[in-house]
Amino acid sequence: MAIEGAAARPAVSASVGRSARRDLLALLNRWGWVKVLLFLVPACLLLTFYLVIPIAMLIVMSFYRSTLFGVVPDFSWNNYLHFWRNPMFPNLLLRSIRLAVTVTAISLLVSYPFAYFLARGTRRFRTTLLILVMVPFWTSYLIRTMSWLPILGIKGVVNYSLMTLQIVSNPVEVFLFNQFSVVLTLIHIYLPYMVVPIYLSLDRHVTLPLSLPGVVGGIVMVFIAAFGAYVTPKLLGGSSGIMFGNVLADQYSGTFNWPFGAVLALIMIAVVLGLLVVASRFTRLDAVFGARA
Amino acid sequence: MTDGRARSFLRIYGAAVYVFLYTPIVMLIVLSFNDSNSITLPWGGFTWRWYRALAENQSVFVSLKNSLTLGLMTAVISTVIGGLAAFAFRSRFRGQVAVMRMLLLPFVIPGLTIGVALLLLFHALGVRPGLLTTTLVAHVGFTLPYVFVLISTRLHRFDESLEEAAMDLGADEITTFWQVTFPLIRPGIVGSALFAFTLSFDEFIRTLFTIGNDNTLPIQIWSTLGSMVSPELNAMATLIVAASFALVIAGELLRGRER
Repeated sequence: MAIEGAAARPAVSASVGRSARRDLLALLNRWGWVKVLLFLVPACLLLTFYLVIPIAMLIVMSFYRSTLFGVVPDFSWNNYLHFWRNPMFPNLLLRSIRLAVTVTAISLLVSYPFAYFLARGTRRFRTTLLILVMVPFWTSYLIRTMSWLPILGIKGVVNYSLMTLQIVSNPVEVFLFNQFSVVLTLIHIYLPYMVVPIYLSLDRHVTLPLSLPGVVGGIVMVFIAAFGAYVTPKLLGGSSGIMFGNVLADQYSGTFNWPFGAVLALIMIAVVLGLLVVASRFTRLDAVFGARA
Repeated sequence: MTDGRARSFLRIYGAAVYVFLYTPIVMLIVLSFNDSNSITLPWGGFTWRWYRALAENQSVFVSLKNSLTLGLMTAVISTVIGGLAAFAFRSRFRGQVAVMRMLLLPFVIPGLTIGVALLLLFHALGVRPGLLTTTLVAHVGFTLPYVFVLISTRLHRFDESLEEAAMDLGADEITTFWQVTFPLIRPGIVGSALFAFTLSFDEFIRTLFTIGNDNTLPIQIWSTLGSMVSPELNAMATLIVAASFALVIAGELLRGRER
């Protein structure tokens, strides 16, 4: 702040002529970078501790060795080899990607006409309708996941209705604790991630092909969220609906194999970054995330 | 298909999606008043007993207090740091795109990997996990990109000629900021702080790996889900949803007023 004031004060006068104004701009240009630097330091410092160092630690940890007596600093590729040699892990990775792709594809199919409805089919209540889409977005996903338990369970609302209507005589178990319940719930939770960017691009442009940035943005957001899921498969997935994130988390809470957990975390980040690289070929991702620079 | 038929089809479709989005939450609210020990149907009559049980649950109040404290501190710190960064982005500087990408990166890194990575960092540093130390860092980092984007969007739409006019009339940069810029963007800043608060209040996965022995409301819900599931949980969820709705609507009204 002090630098700001010092830079600006000398050049200000009641009647600023062209040259004085140019002086002011020149001064700001000369000292502006100090201000910019000072303003950016807190954010950069925070991100260093929140993102840069932690990910660096994941990389270092992924080469360490886990023993019965704790983690031993070592350099070996064993944790990576462990991943590839045991077919369970690559299969789990593929299954999680497949689940996330399913969630993303269905979300896109559901969201596109819906976003079109919001952008073109409404006039009077548009703001209210938009807020109604946004509100669940800011409501705990833990609660939104939990809210499917009383619906899909053995004694849940769906079974209750089916039995009341005498469509089935005994409760059906197929709704909960499998991949179906995971996919359904993830779609329910992350639908706004798809609707909002598509709506924004349809709102701005008249023709449908120009909504591509919104579609790509939605795909990226929903895939990342679904692929990184932990709560939903843990709570509603049973044994067949377990995902990559659950096995990753287990390395830190159950089996305590931190180095192998670091490998899994890095693979998760690599998949996400790979998707971003592909997506950036189709549209400018910076704009998707609301950046203006 | 005629235009009218297409339009009514779109409306029915739109209504169906809203039903899908809101049915589980509405069921949760209804079931929180159900006089039955199971969390689901059949309907056993209307009761307040789950809310009374909740009011007598001391640990819920501790978690609530923790969540509120953490949310407030996150909102304040994140808004200051993110706001400063947004202001820096009004000027052009070298490496701008790189810095911006770094600021936006937390959007796309899965929260779970951030959680375990932070666990490794704090373990290596020897920091004891706690609500207002490790978890606060996690929450400020998590909310920062949202705050940054919201405030820079607001600043982008800001009419800079107002500031130039103030300076032409002899105000220095600090006076201009407090007398002109800040009052105009204040609704945007308060709105971002509210969003940061809501995000922090609901955040679970980054909290789980950084909080140690403390509890926030989402952590408490999670451990309750693991042990005993009772309609008391529905009551707690209903209150949290109601509070989130109120906050989001307050934020939208604030943001709407400046348009």
